[in-house]
Amino acid sequence: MMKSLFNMKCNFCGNVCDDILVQIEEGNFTTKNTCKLGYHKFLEHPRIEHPVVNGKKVSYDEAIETAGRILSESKKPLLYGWASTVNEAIKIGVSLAEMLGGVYDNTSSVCHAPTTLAIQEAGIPSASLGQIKNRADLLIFWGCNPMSAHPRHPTRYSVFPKGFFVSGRRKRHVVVVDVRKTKTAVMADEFIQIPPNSDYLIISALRAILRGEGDKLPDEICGIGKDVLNGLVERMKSAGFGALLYGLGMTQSAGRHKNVENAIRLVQELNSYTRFVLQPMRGHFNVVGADQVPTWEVGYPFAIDFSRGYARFSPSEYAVTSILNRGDCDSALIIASDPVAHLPMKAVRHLSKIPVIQIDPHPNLTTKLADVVIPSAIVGIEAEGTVYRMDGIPMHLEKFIDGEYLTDEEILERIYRKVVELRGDAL
Amino acid sequence: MGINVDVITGRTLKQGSYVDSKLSSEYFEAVAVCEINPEDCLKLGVKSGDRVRVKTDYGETVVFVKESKEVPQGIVFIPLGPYANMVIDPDTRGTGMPGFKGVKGSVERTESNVPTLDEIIDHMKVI
Repeated sequence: MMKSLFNMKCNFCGNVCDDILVQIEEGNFTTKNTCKLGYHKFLEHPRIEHPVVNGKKVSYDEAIETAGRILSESKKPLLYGWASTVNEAIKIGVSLAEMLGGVYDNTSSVCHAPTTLAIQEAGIPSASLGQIKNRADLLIFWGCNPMSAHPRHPTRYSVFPKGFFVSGRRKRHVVVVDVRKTKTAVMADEFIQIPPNSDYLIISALRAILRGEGDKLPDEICGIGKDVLNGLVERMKSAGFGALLYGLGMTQSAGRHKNVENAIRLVQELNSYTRFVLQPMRGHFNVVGADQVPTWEVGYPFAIDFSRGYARFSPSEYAVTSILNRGDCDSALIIASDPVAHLPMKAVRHLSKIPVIQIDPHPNLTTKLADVVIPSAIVGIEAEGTVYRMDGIPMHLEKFIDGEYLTDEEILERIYRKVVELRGDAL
Repeated sequence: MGINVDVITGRTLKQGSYVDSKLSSEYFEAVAVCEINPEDCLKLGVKSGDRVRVKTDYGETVVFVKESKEVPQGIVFIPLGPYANMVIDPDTRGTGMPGFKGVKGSVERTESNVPTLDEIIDHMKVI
């Protein structure tokens, strides 16, 4: 008999859509209400079928013993990934990194880490996605393309939904600022095409205009007419509730966190005229948790070094790319991510020289380099736990299928105990 | 004859759809591409499905051409993944974040083969 589960959560992007219908019949399931990314996420993909050590099939016990041995014998292991698992697993990972005197970093360091650095400098005038849905009559998408990266964001939270105070698409003005004319730009009311790496200058120009200093600006700023920027500032000032939603176009371009800090200052200054908020479009479904959990455990969000026995934070030294560029770790535990597919080649090279332990449900490019491969249950399907949506709202992902694999939490707990046993530490 | 470009990267629907099947042909097709403006394609003498060599100060790679009006002239877009990794800037400028966008480079037509994922990993071990 078919069983229907309503309001399940999607485990792909930072939207964590919580209206997924899962229908289960004889151990198989189908989903409804997903976007294309979510649809594929819930499909059956190749699995890491069994634990592997140096290319040989082994038991979970043997793989965990080898992983524990590698980590406990390392001087400075790197524990990296975390964005696609649950907070309960991340918490054990932070403890493990601390006990080992290693480095904890998560995938935000190649994503929205500049946002975190900017927030440390300037704070964040933000709002929940619900507030944006119910109140925003001006939406500015800057350097992000939700139609490809967060496909249901426009329909659930921003552009199209009928909100409590905004009746729908026609009552919202949508501006896209981007280098490319993306699918999001096509559906916008206004598209401002900027050159690469010009974000900081253009935001500075907007701030100058907002302060009444526009007459000091040249007629064109990075190829954008001053009249266009004047018009945008007027529109921002006259909005009832504005939201600046931005992505990696801002965080990965020249200026990095300074671009975001400038945008935060712009939004803060706009609040002298109207209510205006800013929201980073976070990528993975729990990349926020991968920042938040270490912050409430040891005080820092990412790029944390424990090699002196206490937590030190320095992205220029301890973020994954920085560490690997320098070759400054002698083993790596990679969980819920694929750095071989997503880091610069120079950084990846060091991973081929050191012992690598991988914990993941699916084989990927990191699997090809890993010495120890430990298969795990898929979070949100075979494993449950808490995650943070892109706006920091905690959500509980349910499990609805009994899988044959251990969860990330169970694997990490067992590795932790093994390291304690091997080192002779007290629990 | 090549042209000078800014290389940018990012997610696409197709790349995102196959992130859990990274060893599949669909993932390879999703990430081993370079979106180029039709006017730039004319200058390069290429059309969709042809191959181009993308070079920056940090490396080079060969990918399939995808003509696209989404990118303006002088900018090419490679979806995030192992092919983009060959040419992006590994320097984090003190922030931890490498340069995934706006990397100065050049594009030229080539008859060379697009490397497989295994070839990329082998190359990475020796560079």
